[in-house]
Amino acid sequence: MITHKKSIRHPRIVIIDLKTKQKSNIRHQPFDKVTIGEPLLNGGVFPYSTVSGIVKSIERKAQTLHITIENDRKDTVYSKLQNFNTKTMIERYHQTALTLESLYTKSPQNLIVMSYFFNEPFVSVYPGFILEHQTPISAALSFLKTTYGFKKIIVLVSEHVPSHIEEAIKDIDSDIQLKSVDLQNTPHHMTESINLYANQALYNAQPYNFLTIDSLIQMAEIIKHHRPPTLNYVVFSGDLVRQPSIIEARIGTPIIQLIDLIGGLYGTLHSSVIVNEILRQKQYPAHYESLDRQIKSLHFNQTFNVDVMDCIICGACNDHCPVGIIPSRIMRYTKHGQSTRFLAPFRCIECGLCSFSCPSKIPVLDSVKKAKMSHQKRWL
Amino acid sequence: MQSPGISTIESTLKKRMNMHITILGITVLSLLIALIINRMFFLRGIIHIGLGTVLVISIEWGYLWLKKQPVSFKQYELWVQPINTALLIALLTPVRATYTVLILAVVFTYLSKYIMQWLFQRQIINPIVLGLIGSQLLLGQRLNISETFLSLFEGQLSDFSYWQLLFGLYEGFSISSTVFIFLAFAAGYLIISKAIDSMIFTHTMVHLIVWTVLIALLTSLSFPVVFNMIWLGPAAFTLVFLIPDMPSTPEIKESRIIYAFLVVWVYVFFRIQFGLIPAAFFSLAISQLVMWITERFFTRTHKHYQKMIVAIMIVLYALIILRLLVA
Repeated sequence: MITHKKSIRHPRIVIIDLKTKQKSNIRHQPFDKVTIGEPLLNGGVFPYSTVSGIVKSIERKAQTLHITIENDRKDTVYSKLQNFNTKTMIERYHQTALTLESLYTKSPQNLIVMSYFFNEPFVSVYPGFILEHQTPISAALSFLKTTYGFKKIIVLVSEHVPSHIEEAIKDIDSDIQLKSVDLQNTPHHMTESINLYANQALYNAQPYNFLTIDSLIQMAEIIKHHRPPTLNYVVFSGDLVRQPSIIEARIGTPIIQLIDLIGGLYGTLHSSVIVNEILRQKQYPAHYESLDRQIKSLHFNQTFNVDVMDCIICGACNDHCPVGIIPSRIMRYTKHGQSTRFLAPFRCIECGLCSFSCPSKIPVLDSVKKAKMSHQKRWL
Repeated sequence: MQSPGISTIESTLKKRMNMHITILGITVLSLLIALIINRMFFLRGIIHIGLGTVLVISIEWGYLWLKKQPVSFKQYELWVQPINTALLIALLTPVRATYTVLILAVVFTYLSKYIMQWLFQRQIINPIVLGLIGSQLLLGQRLNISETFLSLFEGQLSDFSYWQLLFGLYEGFSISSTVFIFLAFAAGYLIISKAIDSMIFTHTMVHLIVWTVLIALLTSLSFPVVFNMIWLGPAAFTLVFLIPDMPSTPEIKESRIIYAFLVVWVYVFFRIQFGLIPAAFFSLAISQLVMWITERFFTRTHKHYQKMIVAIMIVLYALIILRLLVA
């Protein structure tokens, strides 16, 4: 049960993985000043600094170089970003940040925003989450509507939406609707819930785009502050977590600091940790020194052990897929290097139900993502 | 909101173990019945099981050794699937058949399994079925297996009783394939434990029931005779253990519905044209092959398609009824 929501917007330091081994690529030296959005490597916008402050050190950790920046808490934005308009900013900084969005047609008419889980069917999002961010999200939705020409926007939330919130959203735009989805704990219920809207959209010839709520919140940050996303939302869950929580934190915040924020763990830090997908074991902290853009959930469990077995072609992933694609076949074709375009992997909304329902504990979503990435064009 | 626990999901290992327990149970019951009927059958049954298991484990061990993979006999879970294969082959081989039939069945099973895996990256047809078909086709003339089955079957049609219907109609180790009560319990357990595909099982059973009722109502044959004709022998056994067995069945719902329909229709056609054994095994092999080919044209899945397929089937049945009524 996730009952806590915490925030750490200004950590003392941030550690950013530069994902390179070559020191010559790095634009800064220790004691240099950096600002938010300032590229840290030559030739590209990623990775960029998520705080303004002074470079403290550049160290090799887990085979790549990591830069540690001391936060001056001033949130100064990189001066060159002032020349960009908001649309360019979104397209430049949002596209590679997350890969959740699906583009069904070249000219989508409608948008569905899903808020009830972070790409993880087993980790539910705190129900009050969207409501707390109502104002910036509304602004972002209005911006998307006017800029990209969405006719209708549906935001799915995981609990009953209070009438005053619904009216407040309607006041902004009558074409933006909040719909509550009654979720239960089984994959079938989730499939059904998503089916309500996704299948309607898919099979009634109404092209839709999909966004997840965390993705939208990052977009809201770009729109509101005119700066690249600096905040991320991560879910802490599992038996070893004292206070299962959703934490809003600055990208680059050391994971140890986040663990302290949730009151520590019952076991040791090196116990079994699953990053993002519960079905895919990843050992901590070899790779994840600090909060990465891609980390959506951390599941700590001492006893949990995943034995991945061969695919038995049971079809559970296909039965549960809310958008009606065939993940098992996409996975097989991807594995053997065959084309999957005709199986439309780009329809995947990355809900993770395929991996969750797999009895062999295969990370099916990984293969679908891989196939999707190979066909995906620019979103929006 | 509470997060759903991963323990609620049935794992592949659990499924295999449940299948293993069921097959073991059926084997023990079959042996007991064989012991009551004829001690020779019991002994031959034991030899069939032993020989099959040893052969299968040897082949698996040899394959792992050739691939230079570590072999451990301590982990029983790793050997559950091969033992299941051996027991299924032993249960489906008539007790009167020579050991050559069993050995060939095992060899063909593994040959077809490895070849299919190499060529298609999956088992498009159940290798056990291919193994049994292969062994019987190769030695069919010399052993007259289908004749043996047919003679047993036909000889007991005249003195039919409901008691026999429930507990089996012909002697031998393969009696398990006819004991409907045991099979019903096995099916119930496998469906609850999700070890077999309940959708395929239910659809196949419904189609079989519909065909039984149709033939009994529209022809001069009595219901028990038609029941024997349709359900006897390996038909009921394959319905529980082979038709909904996962690795060779279609992977999406629509094709699973069509598969169940196809298996029964082909089975009924073959049953009328040929005999029991060819009908059960050939229908399964043909349906799985056809479904593997046709399934490639399904690029997505949706409830509307399922409803359409069911509607088409109902129309087909209505046409059959009309045709028979007119005739």
